[in-house]
Amino acid sequence: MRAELERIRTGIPGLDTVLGGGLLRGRSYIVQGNPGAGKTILANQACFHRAAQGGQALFVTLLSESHDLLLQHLSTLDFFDESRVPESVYYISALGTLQREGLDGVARLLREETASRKASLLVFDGLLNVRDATGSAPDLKQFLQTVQTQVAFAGCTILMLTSARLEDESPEHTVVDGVIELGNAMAGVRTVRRLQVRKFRGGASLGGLHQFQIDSRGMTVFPRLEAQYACPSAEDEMPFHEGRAGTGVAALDAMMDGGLPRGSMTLAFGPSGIGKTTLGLHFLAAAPPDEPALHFGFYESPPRLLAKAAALGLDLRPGLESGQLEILWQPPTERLLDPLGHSLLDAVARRGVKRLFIDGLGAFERAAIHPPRLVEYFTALTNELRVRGVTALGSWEVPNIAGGVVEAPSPELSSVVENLVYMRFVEQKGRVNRVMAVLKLRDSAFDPNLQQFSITDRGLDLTRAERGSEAMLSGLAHQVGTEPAQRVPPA
Amino acid sequence: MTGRLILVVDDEVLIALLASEVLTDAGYRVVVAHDGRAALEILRREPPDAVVTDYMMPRLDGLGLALAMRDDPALRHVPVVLTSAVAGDVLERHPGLFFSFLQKPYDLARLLGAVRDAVGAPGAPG
Repeated sequence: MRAELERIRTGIPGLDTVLGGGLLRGRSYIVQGNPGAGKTILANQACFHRAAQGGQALFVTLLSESHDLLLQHLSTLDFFDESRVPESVYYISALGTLQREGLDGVARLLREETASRKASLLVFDGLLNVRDATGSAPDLKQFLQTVQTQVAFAGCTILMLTSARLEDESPEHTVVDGVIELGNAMAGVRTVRRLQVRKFRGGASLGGLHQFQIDSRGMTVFPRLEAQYACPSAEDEMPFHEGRAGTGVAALDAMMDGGLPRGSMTLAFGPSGIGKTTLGLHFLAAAPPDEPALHFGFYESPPRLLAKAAALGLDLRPGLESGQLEILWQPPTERLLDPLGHSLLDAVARRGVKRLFIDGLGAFERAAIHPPRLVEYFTALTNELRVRGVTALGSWEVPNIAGGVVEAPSPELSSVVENLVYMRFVEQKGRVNRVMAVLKLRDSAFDPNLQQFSITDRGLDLTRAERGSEAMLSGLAHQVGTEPAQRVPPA
Repeated sequence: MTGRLILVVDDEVLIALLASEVLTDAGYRVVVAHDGRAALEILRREPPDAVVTDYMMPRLDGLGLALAMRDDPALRHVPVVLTSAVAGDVLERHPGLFFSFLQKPYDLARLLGAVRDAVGAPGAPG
């Protein structure tokens, strides 16, 4: 039988997930990163979490920076709880001890203080100074092993912080049980903070670079979505997926045998202004009471969406007021892919969302710093939505307003999207009309006919497209038997 | 040297050093310890006129130091100035134990003021 080792949770959102449940009790870890990378915040946040759990944390520094300034900085962060200091979170300096008694004295101090304070978490800040104080690698290794034997094996977990760029074969790394590295990466003009677990003995951790943020709440780690949900969080239960979720547009439902297949991902793609958001609003407004609905959008603010819906004859306010519908607007700031995905999945989990409209999926693509990962990312996201029984509709904007070839949506998306609805403008008899067509529907037959539609004060209004027209999907419709209009070659 | 003797206790070496230099420049005699236990040893060899101590320290904290001084008839009357960034409710729980409290980080004028309040001018008779 597989034994589970006892964990000390850091309480840092996302980090415990990356660590496979938390740090191991009685093990030692290095947290490394440049000054400003967030090591001190990580360690303090873990200390205050320990205190909140009723445990004791000890913070020992070998640095010349004063604790007063550290505490002043911490006092601006939400997790800082002054009432825990000094009873449950205790700060001392070992610099004087190092100067007078050397490393043996420091090791003794750590052992005595951990024991007398009954600490279950020890932070030791300034490992670089230990390196400077030791003449040789064996001395350094011996110090670390002494501390580990005396402190960690007594049941206290140790976090050692260092601004050194330690390599895997360094004495420090070989001795400790795990290494967490914090770093910054430039992406265009942005700086992105990233965390990597470079070593973790005794358990599986999520590999790779995980984005994290530091704000007034302290540190929040966003595990790479495709790593966290490499396997979906639940079994893929087929009963979720029986039947159809009506779109609220009866004529469209009729084309799809009753609506969107439950638990599937549908992409509505077409140019700006064609009516993708309108379709999404219908879909959300048609949600029955036992299907909580979520609008996860990037363009319109909630008031504008309400106004837009009202102009279509859809009143979203009762749903918003009763909690049946949530509009989660992602304001147009700098966005990162993993925070977006986690924000979406959290919102789905919070209310047991069963109907989701994402307007538009292109924002995910733009948030990607490393676009090749989008395939795995969207796969993980859609699989996770499926096992949570969510019927999802997403919009995807294609660049051509009219004319030109049919643009396939992003290749990253095509592989994971189960249903495709294409919408576009066509020129017919001197008029610009809207048409839509179902191009793909999961495991089922569908009406392949083009539907002409208009947007009215009663919403989307579909009528069968004029028979005998051809090449409407190309945007240059013509009557059968007549010459198609000459296409202007692209410049 | 006949000036008043101040014991500065702080585990943060730089803070102890800075406080000691300022008090020395002002005319006090100063001894330094980096934890409460070392401070008690110094105190028992030569009782000072005042103690300025940090709260959180290894081995024996500022509260433990003050309690040990209160239990020692030779040290009971030495005023203790507590300095800390976060003192919690120690002052309320131990009324009268400390002569005064100095919030950290303190500027050096406030340190001098606190010491002067406790013992008077550097060379003045008690």
